Amino acid sequence: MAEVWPSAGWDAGGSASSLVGRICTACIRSVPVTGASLSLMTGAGNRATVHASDAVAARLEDLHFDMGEGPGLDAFREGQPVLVADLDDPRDGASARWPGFSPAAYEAGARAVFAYPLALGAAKLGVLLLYGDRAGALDADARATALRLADGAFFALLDLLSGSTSAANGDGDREWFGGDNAFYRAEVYQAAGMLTVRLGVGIEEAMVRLRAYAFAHDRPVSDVAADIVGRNLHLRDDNDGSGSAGQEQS
Amino acid sequence: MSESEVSREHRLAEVFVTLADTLVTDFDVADLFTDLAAACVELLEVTAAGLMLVDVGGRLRVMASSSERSRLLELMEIQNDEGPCLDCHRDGAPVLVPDLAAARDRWPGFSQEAMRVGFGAVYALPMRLRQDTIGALNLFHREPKIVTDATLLLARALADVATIAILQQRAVAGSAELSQQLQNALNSRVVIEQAKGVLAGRENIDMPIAFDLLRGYARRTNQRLSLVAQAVVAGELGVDKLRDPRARTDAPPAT
Repeated sequence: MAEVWPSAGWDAGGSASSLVGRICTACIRSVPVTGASLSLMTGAGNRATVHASDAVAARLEDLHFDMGEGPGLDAFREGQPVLVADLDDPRDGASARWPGFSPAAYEAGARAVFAYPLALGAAKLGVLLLYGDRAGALDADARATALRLADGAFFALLDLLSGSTSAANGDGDREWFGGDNAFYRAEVYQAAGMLTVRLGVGIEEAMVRLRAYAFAHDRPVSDVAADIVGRNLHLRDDNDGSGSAGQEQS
Repeated sequence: MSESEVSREHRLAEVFVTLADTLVTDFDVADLFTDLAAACVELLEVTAAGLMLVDVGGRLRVMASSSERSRLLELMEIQNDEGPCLDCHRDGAPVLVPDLAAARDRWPGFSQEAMRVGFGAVYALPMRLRQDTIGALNLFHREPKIVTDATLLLARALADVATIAILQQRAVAGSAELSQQLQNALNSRVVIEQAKGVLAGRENIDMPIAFDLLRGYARRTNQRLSLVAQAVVAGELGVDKLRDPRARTDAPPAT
């Protein structure tokens, strides 16, 4: 992971992977699919599969990157779910859209593939990939559940990348769903935008650094964000995941 | 009919024509909601207006607010999980509070904070779609005030326009997925806020000026606001390009 997130306190083992594993398990339990996997990605093409629930799910992840195509990459690029109810049905157009991926995925045992981007605004962290061993579309309830899990997975990844352990220590669904209205304030997104300039990083890393700082100082992320937007707080470009900062002289 | 009534009627027609025109184009829902909030203030003769949408987790989120004061109040309401806008969304029915002082028992925290920031009345109207309530249109007035039935009817029409806008977004054309449409609408708001931050970080300007830069450029170039915002966050679009070449070249006043 180091090359993908150089400054984040990412721990590829232990709690991190087990949390992501729990998210994948929740998908399999609450959405009618056979397996699930979750990968971190960057726009520059770096990626890492963080968890795959079974060998087929792992193979689907590998295929995306061996072939350089597939529903997961499209979902990441477009920022929209890409749902393929039947890999083998020409009406779904999978073999025309991904001539390399589709037959290989079918060969591996997948019949349906549902890819959900893990994103908040322009910040994209990765993809949640679900597959079914039988063809069939997800119904509206299942699609809404998958969206909710993808939303929660985004915040779980953000917590993990920022080295905050609240999500990693949590049980059940609550923590994955953000559970934190503070994150939905405009200031949080504005502050992340400002940090991209200050720290010379992308919007994803800016959100990670903001979260890391709030966590390290045990403050609500919205408070920290309001200080940054009000130009009362400057995170330093010192690349230490703990998110140290200097108070601006006023 | 008095002169002011005639001009209001004229203005009303103008606003609805603009909204209808927008809905048949490649519009941006966050942009439209900003306009809707402003239109509510003007047409409904209230002090402030805001629009909330429900997210995939079932929580309400602020999509647009005509003033900073009403935005903060709405955020507080969501945070504390208590208030008329939340009740309106939960019950799918209008909640009309012509005098907040009389509502202290029902929403102690909300009434106190609303009156502290200078509101005396609030009306929350549901954004309804078949059996779902997907959000709320919230109106705030300075003094206690009983709104007329005609005003309420108009408010309902504006809430319906907001609902239709959610269904009409281009980004999800061909998909009937309501939760995805709501998610996209909320996400477009997030991208715009991120882009405002990028501009504020680069230029030492305030957020409202950053928003005007984004919106001015989007309108001049006929692009969706959220796509312009995306390009700004991706570093593909700089401040120099966003500035209107026809405008005076001196920098905007630092505020």
